[in-house]
Amino acid sequence: MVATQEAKQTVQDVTGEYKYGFVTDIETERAPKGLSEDVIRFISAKKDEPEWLLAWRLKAYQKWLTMEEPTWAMVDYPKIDFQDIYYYSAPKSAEDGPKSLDEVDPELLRTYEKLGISLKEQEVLAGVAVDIVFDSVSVATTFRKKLKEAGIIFCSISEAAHDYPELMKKYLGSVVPVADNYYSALNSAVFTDGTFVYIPKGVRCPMELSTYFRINEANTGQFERTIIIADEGSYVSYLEGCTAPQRDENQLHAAVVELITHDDAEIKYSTVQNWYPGDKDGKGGIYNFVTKRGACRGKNSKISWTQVETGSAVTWKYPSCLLIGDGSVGEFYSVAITNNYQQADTGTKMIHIGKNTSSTIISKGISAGKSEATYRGLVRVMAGAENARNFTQCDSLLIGDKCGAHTVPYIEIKNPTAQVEHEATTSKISDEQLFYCQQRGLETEDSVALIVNGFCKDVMKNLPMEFAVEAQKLLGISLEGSVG
Amino acid sequence: MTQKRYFDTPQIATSFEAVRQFLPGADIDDFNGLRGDAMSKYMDSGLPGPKVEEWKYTNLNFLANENFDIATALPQETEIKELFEKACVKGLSGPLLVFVNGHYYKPLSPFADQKGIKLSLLSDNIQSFRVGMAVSDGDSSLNNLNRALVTDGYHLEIAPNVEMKQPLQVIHMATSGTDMTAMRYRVQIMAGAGAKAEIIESYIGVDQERYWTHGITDVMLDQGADVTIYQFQTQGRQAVHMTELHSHVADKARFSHISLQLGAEINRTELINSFTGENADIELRGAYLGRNKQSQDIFTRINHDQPNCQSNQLYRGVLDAGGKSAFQGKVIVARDAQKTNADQSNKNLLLSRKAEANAKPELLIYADDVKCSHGTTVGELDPDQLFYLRSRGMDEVTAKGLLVEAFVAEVFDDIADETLRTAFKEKTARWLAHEVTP
Repeated sequence: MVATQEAKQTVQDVTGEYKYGFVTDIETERAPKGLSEDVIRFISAKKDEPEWLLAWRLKAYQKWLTMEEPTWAMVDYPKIDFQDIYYYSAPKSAEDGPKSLDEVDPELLRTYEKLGISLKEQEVLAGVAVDIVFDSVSVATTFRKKLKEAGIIFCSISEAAHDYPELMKKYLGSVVPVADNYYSALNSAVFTDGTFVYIPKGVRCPMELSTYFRINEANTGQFERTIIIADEGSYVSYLEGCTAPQRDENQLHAAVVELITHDDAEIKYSTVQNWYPGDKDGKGGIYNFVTKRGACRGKNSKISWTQVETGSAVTWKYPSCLLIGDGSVGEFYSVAITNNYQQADTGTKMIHIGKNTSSTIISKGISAGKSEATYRGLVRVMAGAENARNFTQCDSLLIGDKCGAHTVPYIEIKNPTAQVEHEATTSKISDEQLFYCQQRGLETEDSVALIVNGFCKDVMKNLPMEFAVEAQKLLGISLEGSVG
Repeated sequence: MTQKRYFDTPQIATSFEAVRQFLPGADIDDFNGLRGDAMSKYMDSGLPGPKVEEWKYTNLNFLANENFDIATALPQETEIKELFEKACVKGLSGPLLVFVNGHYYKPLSPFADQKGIKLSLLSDNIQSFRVGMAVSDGDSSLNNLNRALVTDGYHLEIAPNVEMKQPLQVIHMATSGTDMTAMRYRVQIMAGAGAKAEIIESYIGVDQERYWTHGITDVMLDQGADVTIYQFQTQGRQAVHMTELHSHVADKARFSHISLQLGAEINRTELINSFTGENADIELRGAYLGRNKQSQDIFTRINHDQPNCQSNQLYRGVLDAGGKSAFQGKVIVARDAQKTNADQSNKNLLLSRKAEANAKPELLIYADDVKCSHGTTVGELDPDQLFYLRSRGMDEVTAKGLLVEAFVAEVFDDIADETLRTAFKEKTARWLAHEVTP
């Protein structure tokens, strides 16, 4: 019941407006609008990148030019003009390179305060290290020292290109190849920043690593690149959360995330995505076209994706696992909530390649208003994957009669020892459930929040503590105005 | 839909011009025109390649190289008899309709007139087909190809409140001499309000010929009508078998389709169903079995465009060495189709290392007060069950056979007519026992 009251409180707080809808005005340095080889050279020069990385970008750009925009997802949006986007913008103060938080632009700091992630607080509150990406350039990184003591590399991708070129060369594009899809090629050409994490052999990362993404400048696409490598026997839990200020123009985000686990290693990757979803009439909002993939390369390694997707106007996202090592495990826990005119086409791919591999997929979709939520997933068991196991559960909940909930699973099995189960249901919140709650004195909106939280419990319980609280509030906010 | 996803088959156009004047209805201008239009539409679109989502699991590229002419083989009476004996479900006294190599075969087709039941053939009553073919809802390239080149088929009309006393048995056979030829059928079934009918369709053919059977069926059910189609697909081992069925189900009507797919090298069975009224019922059930290069692709769609309707799908697949299957089932619930109940169950058994099962059960839902679910499983026989039977002295082959039979039997258990139910089970058992033509 506490969660419900909290949700109610939050709903009142925001009074129908997007909570994080504000714009920070700081001088930025931009690349010229549009995409060309020159812009890519500009980005590369800005970041003082090594020659090989520029060559890699240019090759990706050439590839991208030959590719077609994918149209298979069940999402509908106006055609994107890729020449009408700024591909690079950095907060100017970053040029000088702030050495500590005191040097960071005070307005920037105030922005974070509004978001409730004051760095000063963060630094004091032990446990979470934050690498903040503010419009493409990392401006502050905390707790790096502590991590360094453990041998952990936690830095921006640009730093990694300078300081750890061998690791970068080895892993960049090794899970998501440049030409994997249209947006991964675009990202490879123009990625501006992101996070690089390396956990050495046998190290259990002492804290949860976290990055807050934030789109700030109008018309700048965010092209983040994240690489996390867990070496033998290591463990890391990584949190990714995003908020964005309110905007009328649609903004494009095309991130690429690559995870690699070696023998007995584990990566837990959690996302709470609550970017600006557009207003009640479907105006504005972020386009979120993300490629996330993890490769369980080692024996008995594990990759677990947990996501709570409540934001963005259009989402196109399939965090996947390649289960290569024998005995490796892939997990996907997802809650996707769409309201108003939001569209989400999300799911996962579990590719069983090694022996005794197993995967679990739990997907909960909630559609309200005039939105559309689609689960699209693939479970493939290759001929050599002996004793593969998969369990998939996809449930959809419809709130209102103008929304849509869709399930598009693909199941492709080439080994007889596989055991694959897929189950999907679609239903609405029953009148009995609502009546039961209301009879006990709950408002309709509270009742819905309570029921939805119950519906999502199987996923929410997999979120780290920090996220679970925020995510529960988000469920309430996202569904605000959907009933009654 | 970019052009390159589809490919052209110029040979088919050439052969169309050559045979056009010999096709039924060539002397009727508007029907001839209908064929021409369908052919040019087909040529415009071309055939779907593997990049077309619906054709992900069946590759039609072979049609670019292999040219199937219209079947003209003159079959031997003894051979027809032989195939007929295998295909015919014994113990049923209903009317029979036999098509041999794409044409009606009178000697084996006794049909006694029953009041209120009208049966006519495409080859001698082209007019009754004209309307239905012009407004057919399928406009796929294969549908157009069938329209252009169809040689025969039947039109069955059941008057309101008339009940067909015995099921109509229809046998489509392909004899020797049909190598690299195509047989195209068109079927129309119209059930008036409150009418009741059962149709048993059998497809059979010889193993040594590579032929292509391509049938399109339209089923129209008026209010309260009840139509069941039973299908036995026991085509020859090299055959290409394609069927496409469109049903339209009105208020309180009930349509069932129960099939057993165990023949052909390439099978593509499409069942496209739409509700046109409320409180109606659609039931689709089937078993598909495959081994030795066989590919069984079952594609179903249920358009819940009306409220208060029910649909139920139950499919079981058994794949042995070299067999491949795809079950693609789509349920679309339209915005106002409240109180829809749609259930789908698909289970697959893999009996061998070289077997493959694919499934794509899709739910597209736009109404909120609905109950829709689907379940899919893929796995091997339960070792505990096998052990249980073995420990009671049963040899491995028999024990496995028993378990597979039980697995498939679920599809046919509800068939009321015992003769028919037994026929389905027996054919399944014979396939399991590796009999050449089940």
